[in-house]
Amino acid sequence: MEDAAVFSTLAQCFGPVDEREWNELTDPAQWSDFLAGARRLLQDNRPLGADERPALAMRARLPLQEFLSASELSALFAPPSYQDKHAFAARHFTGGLPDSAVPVESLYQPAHPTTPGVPAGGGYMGDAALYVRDVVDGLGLAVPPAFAACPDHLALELDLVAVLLRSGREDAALAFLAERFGWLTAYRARLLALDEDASFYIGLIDLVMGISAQQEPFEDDVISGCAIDSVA
Amino acid sequence: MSENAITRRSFLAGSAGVAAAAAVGFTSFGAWQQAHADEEAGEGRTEAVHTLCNACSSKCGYTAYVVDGKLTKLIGDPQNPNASGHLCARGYGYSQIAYSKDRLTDPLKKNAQGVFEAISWDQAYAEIAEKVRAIIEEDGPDALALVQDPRPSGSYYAKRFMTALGSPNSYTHGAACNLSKVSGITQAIGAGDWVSDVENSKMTMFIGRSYCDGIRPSQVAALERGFENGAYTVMVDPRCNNSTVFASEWVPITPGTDLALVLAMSNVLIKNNLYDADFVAANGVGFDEWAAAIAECTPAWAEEITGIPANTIERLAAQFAEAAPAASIEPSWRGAYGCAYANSGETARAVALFNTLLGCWNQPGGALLTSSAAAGKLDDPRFAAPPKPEGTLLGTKEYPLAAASMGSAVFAGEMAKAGVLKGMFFYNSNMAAGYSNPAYLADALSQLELMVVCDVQMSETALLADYVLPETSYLERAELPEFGGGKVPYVAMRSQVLDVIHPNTKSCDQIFTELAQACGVGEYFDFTQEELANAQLKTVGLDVDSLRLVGTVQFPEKAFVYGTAPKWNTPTKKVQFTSEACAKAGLSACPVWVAPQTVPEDGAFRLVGGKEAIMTHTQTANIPELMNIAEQYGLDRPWISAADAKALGIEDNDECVVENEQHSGTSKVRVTERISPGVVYIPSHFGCTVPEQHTAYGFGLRIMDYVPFHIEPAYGSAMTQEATVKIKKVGA
Repeated sequence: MEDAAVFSTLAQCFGPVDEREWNELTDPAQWSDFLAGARRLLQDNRPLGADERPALAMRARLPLQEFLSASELSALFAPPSYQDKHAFAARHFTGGLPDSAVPVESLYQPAHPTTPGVPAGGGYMGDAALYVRDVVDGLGLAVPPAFAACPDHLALELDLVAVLLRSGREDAALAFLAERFGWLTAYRARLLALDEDASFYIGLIDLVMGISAQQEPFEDDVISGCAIDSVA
Repeated sequence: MSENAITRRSFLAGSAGVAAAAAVGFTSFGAWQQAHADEEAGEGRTEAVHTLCNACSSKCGYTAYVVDGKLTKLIGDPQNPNASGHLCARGYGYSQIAYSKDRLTDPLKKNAQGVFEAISWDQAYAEIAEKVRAIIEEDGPDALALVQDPRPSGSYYAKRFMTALGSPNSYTHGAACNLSKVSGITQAIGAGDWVSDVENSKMTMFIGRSYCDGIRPSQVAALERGFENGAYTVMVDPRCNNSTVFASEWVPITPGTDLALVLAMSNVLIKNNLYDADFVAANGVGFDEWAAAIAECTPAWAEEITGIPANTIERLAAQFAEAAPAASIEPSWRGAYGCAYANSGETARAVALFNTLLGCWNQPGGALLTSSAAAGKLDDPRFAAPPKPEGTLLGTKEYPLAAASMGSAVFAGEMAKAGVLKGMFFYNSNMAAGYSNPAYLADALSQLELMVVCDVQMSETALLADYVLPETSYLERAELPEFGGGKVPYVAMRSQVLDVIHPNTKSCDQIFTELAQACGVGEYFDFTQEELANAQLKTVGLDVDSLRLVGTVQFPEKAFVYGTAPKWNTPTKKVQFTSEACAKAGLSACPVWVAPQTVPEDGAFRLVGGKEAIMTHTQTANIPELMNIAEQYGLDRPWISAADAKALGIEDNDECVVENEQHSGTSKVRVTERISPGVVYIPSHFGCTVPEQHTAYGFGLRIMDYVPFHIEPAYGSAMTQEATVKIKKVGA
C-alpha cells in the first residue's frame, strides 16, 4: 500500500489541511518516508501498486537528484511551515488574481468543446471536472464541498489515485494516472512564472510527472481494459 | 513508504482509516466521453429554470436548460417583455461567466505589500466593520458612500446597508450612463423616460441610440416591425450604426450638437405654426418664453453647428408635423445625451419639449408614458426601512438637477479625492474604468481609508480595493423580483439555475446582510431573500413558487391605454417649457443652445463612444466566446472616415497612434464611410487593464483614458464624450 501513501501525501500538499495535519505530515521521519516512497516509484520498473520484487529492492537506490533540480530538491527536503504553506495558498491557490495558480485541470486544458454544453476549455467544470466527478460518484464517494467547483483539483486527482490503489484497483489507478496528469506540464510552467519561489510545488509536480512517465510501459493494457467498465 | 493514519487521510474518503471505496466502478476517460455524449443526445436529466440575464441592464427573461448540473441551452422567454422569445449574442455568451477561469473564488485582502491574499469571510467582515465603525466615529456616516449598477437584489440590499449605517450617499452608475437624460426629461415632463411607439409610428427619430447595438430583443423586433409597416425612421448619429438597416435615413451630425438640431426643428414647427397649439396650451407652461428664446435657432443657424443641411432640418421638422401625433423623438438612453456633453441634460429637456409640440404623448405611434408594476407596502415590520439618514446625498447642492435616485457618482469620486469621503463600497460597478478618466479615479479612490468591492471577477475598480468580496455569478443565485414597466407592466424574477460553483462565494443579499450584522446594523436584515421576495410578490397576488414556474407575469389589467391623458409630475403639474429649478441651478429657465465644452483644435477629431451588437460593457469583454467574434471582425478598431483617412495617408487596418493630452495608444483602425468626417469612434468596452482578465486584458483602446475628469454643470454627469483626439499612422 506504500504507493497509495505517496499519493495521499502528494494530495495533502496541494489541498487544504489544518496546521496539526500539516505538522504531522511534514514531521521529519514521516516526510523522509514519503520521499523514499516517491524515489522508489521514480525508479522501479513495476506497475503502480505492484509489490516490489526482492531483486529490485536490493538494487542501489538512485538519488532524487536524478529527477529534480537542486532548488527543487532542497525545497522538497525542507517542506514549508504551515504558515508558509497557508500564505502561498492565499496568494496563489485562489482564483481571479494575477498570481493565481489554482491547480485545477480544467483551467489548463485547451479549448475543446467536445460535447455540446460543455464549457470551452480554460474554464471551471470542463470535461475533466465532470469526468472526475462521475468517477468519484461511481466509487460510491462524494466530491467534498470545498472542491465543488473543481472535482479535477490536483489534490483530488492525486487522492483518487490513492483511493483506487487502496480499493485494489491498481489497473484503474494506473489508467487514471496515465490519462489525467498531462496538464501538469502547463501547470508547472504556470508555477515557474510566479514571482514567488514555488520550488516546493514544482518539485512535487516533477515527482508526479516522473512517476507518470515511469508507468508508461504499463499503461496501454489497463486503459483499454478500463474502457469496458461502466461507471457504477 | 508505510501507511499510517497520516498518510491515509483522504479528501474523498473522509477521515483516516477508510480503506477503500465501497464500489469500484471505473471507466476510462474516452469511454466516459462517449457515454457522456450519448447523455447529451437526450438521455440526461434535464431541468428548465426561468431566470434573468445579467449581461446588461435589460435583464431579459429566459429559460435555462441544465443537464446533470451543466448549463446546456438558453431560450428567451416569450412572455418576458424585454426578451420576447429571444436573447442577444451577449446574453448567450455572458452565461459563460459562471465557469470563467477568472472568477474570484475567495474573499481577498490587500496586504502591506499591495498584494491580494485570500482571507476568511469572518476576517473580512470583522476588519471591514472595524474600519466602518472608525470612520463613522471620526467623520460620521456621511463619510461613507456606495456606488452600484442596479440589479434586482443589489439595488435593495446595498442601498439598505448604506442607509442602515446612516449614510445618504448611495449612487448608481447613472453619471456615466443616463443621468442627464433622465434628469433633463424630468425637468420637462416630470418623468424620466417614455416609450416611443416605434412599430406603430409614422415617424420616429433616434438620436445617438441604436437598438441593434445596445440590444434589447423586443426593441429590435419593434424597430423591424415599424420598418415593415412603413414608418419613417431617422437615425441621427455621427456613426452609421447597426440600426440603420431598419431606418429610412441616416443623418450624420457633429457630435455634441443634437441640441441645436432639436431646437431648430422646434423653431420650424413654431414659426410655421405646425405644432399642436391646443395640446401645448392645455398642457404647457412657459411656452411663449421658450418660443421667443429659440426664435433665432433657425435651420440655417443649426446647419453651422450640426453640419446637417438646413433644408434637411426643415424637411425633417415638416415630416414630423405631417406624421404627428404618430411620431416622436425616441428618448434615448446613454447614447448622445445620457451623460456625454456639457449640454446633455438640456438636450434631453429639449427633446421632451419637441415631442410636446407634436402632441404625441400617449398617442398611437407617439411617445407613451407607460407605468411600471411595483410591490405594495410591506406590513411585516422586519422589512421596514431603516431610519432616514440625517445628511444629504453628497452632490445635491452642487448638481441640483441630478436625479436623486442616481446621484453623481463621479462627484463622489471627487469627494474621495478631496478626503470628504473616507470609505466607499462598490457593487457590480467598475467605476474606475468606465465612469470617467481612469487615472484620475485611481488617484481619487486611492485616497480612501476603506474601499470594498463586491464582484465576480477582478476589475480595475477591484484592483484598487482594500477588500474584494467574491459574489456568485448571476446564474448561481436567486434575486428579488424585478418589477418592470412598458405597454404591459410585469414582474419577473431571477431564479438560481446552477448550484454554487465556488463554495466560498456568496450572493449579494447574503454578503450585505452579513456585512450589516458585522457592522452592528443586522436588525435591518432579519429576513431571507426569499422571505422578502414572497412578501413583495404577495402584494401583487403572487408568490415565489408561482413566479418561478413561469418566470414572468404580466399585468394586463394595468396595460397602457392609448389616448390616456398624461399626468405631469412636475412642480407646476404641466409640461415645463420653463423650469424654475433649472433657472435656480444656473441654467436658462427654458432650454436654449449650450455649446459642447470641447472644441477640436486643428487636426483633432471629436471622440465618440458606443456599444456594439455583441459587446457593450467592460464585463462582457472577458468572455472568450464573445471575444472570438470581436477578434475575428476587428471590433476593437477605432473608426475614422474615409475622407479623413485619405488626408492623413491612413488605410484600413493601418496601425495608428490615437492620442491626446490624457493618453496615447496604438491600434489598427477601421476606415469607413460609416462615420462623419472629423469624428473618431472608439468602442466603449475594450482596453481592459486588469491582467486577471485573461481574455479582455490589453485588447483594444479604453475610451475613458482619453476623457478628462469633468462633470456636467447642474446635472452631474461625467461628460463622457467631451474629448478630442489626434490620430496618425504609426511612424508617420
